[in-house]
Amino acid sequence: MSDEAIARLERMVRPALTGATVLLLSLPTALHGQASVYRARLDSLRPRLAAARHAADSVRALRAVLPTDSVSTPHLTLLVNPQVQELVRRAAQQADSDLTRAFGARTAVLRNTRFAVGIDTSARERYYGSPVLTMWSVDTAQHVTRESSEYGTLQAVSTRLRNHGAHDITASLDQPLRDWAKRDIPWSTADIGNPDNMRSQLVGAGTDVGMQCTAGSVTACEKGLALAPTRDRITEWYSAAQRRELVMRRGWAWRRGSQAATFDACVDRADDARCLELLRAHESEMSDEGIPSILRMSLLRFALDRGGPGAFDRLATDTGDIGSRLAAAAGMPQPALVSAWRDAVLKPEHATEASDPVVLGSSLLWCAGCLALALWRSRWS
Amino acid sequence: MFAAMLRAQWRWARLPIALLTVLAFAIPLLSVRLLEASDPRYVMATMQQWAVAYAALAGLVGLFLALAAWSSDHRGRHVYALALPLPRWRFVLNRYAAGAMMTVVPTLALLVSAFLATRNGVVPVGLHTYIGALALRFMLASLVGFSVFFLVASSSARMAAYVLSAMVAIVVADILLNSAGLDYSLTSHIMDVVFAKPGLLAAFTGRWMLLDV
Repeated sequence: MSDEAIARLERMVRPALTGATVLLLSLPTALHGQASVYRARLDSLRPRLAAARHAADSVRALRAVLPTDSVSTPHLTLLVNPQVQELVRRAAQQADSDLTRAFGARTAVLRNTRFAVGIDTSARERYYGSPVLTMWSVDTAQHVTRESSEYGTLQAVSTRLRNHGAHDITASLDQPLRDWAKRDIPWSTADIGNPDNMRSQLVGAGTDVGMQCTAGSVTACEKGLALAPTRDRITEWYSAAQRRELVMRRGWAWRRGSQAATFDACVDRADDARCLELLRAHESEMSDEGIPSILRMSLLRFALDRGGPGAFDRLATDTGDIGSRLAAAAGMPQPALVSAWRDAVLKPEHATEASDPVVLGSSLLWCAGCLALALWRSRWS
Repeated sequence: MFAAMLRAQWRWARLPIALLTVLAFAIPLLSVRLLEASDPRYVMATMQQWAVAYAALAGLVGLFLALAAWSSDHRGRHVYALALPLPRWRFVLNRYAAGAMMTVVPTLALLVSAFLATRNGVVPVGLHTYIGALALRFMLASLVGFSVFFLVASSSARMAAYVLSAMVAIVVADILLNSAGLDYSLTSHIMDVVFAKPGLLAAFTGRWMLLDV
């Protein structure tokens, strides 16, 4: 190739070479600009990725804890988590049997409810290694009517199922009976509370009807338990001394403005007319129970236990007043029922805890153990 | 030998026991005399407040009797005991029996006081007196307290160190479990075992009520 040809070629290529050089020199800057755009996009996607991962984890966790298998007993249908299926099956069988014994044919209303048992993974607390369970009651309209947490032990789950069942059965009763009961009808006497507490509640009712009932007046028991009508609770439930005490207990809250003189007359001079005046002015603030309502449950359970099979059905279907319904359930006249219940509640055998043979025996054994250890030593200290 | 030991222990323990006997006599009387109303609820609440005093007093009776039983021997480095023509077990048994017998003194004071406090018809309708049951529980708790402290007092310093170390280890284990995020309290489980029926100190818990339903 001649020099001229080379020079021509060089002239043709130089602009291209210059352009390529300029391009090569400017490439890092250009690439850097693009990279920052892509990095920004990538960064914006990271939270979404984390959220997606979290959602996937949650779904996996939910699959592990949500109820997917079912357990059925004659009256209970439960959707349960597979991990606790066997536990729930045994608990449901126990609960069904107890509820049927307590509520008879009425237990059939539980067929309208579905129960679900899942594992509460958010709970940090565990009971001797058992997981904490969440239990739901779901009605026919697929509404959750009750939700509660429970330790995953057989006793805890069966008790909770019995309580859910008792709640639903109570809800199926007529309004007057529910209004009188004020709470879910207990499935057993043990469910109400220990006998000592029942005795304390009656003896310590703080009303004259409570004291008279304790002393043996069946009429007072009936009034206090709302089985007999009360025309004026201030005069019928409380003695003059109790009325004064009621006012005293309110203290300065009632000693205001024009009522100060009335308050002083009631408290300082024991003027019952003034006490009555104050109590009538504040009647809406006073208790509507002559005897604590927990004792209504005690009486109800006593009547059902006395009545034997079919007692609850008689209670639920009778159309009379509450007293006659309880009498029908128990199969005995109302005064006899109330009297027998009162005697059972006040039976003194419950309060001899101080000489409990278990405490007595174990304490003596511990003493003997300590003495044996002291004797056992082989050398002087 | 037992009579001599009983006399000696009584000499060492009589001052604190006399004071505790006075307290045992005072508590039932005060708990009833200081009642301001006859409402059963109020009476029961007041009795519950006094319940702690009975349990604490029973513990103190046990403690002082056990200390009195061994303090002289510890001071004399057991020379007196070693000089006796008795095997150790008989010596310890005599010491224990003498101490246990002395729990009767404050118990009797409590019994008489409870009887005097409740004889004038202060018991509201529906409540009952539990004089015998309260005295029995007091004696039982005193005896348990005495037995535990007797065992500790009869032990060597090394044994006391072991017991103390075990207690510290339990507390440390609890702290470690807690800091590891585990909701498991060793202390509370041990307390449950000790104070619940039929635990070592079950006699100290429950209702110490002179007047109850």
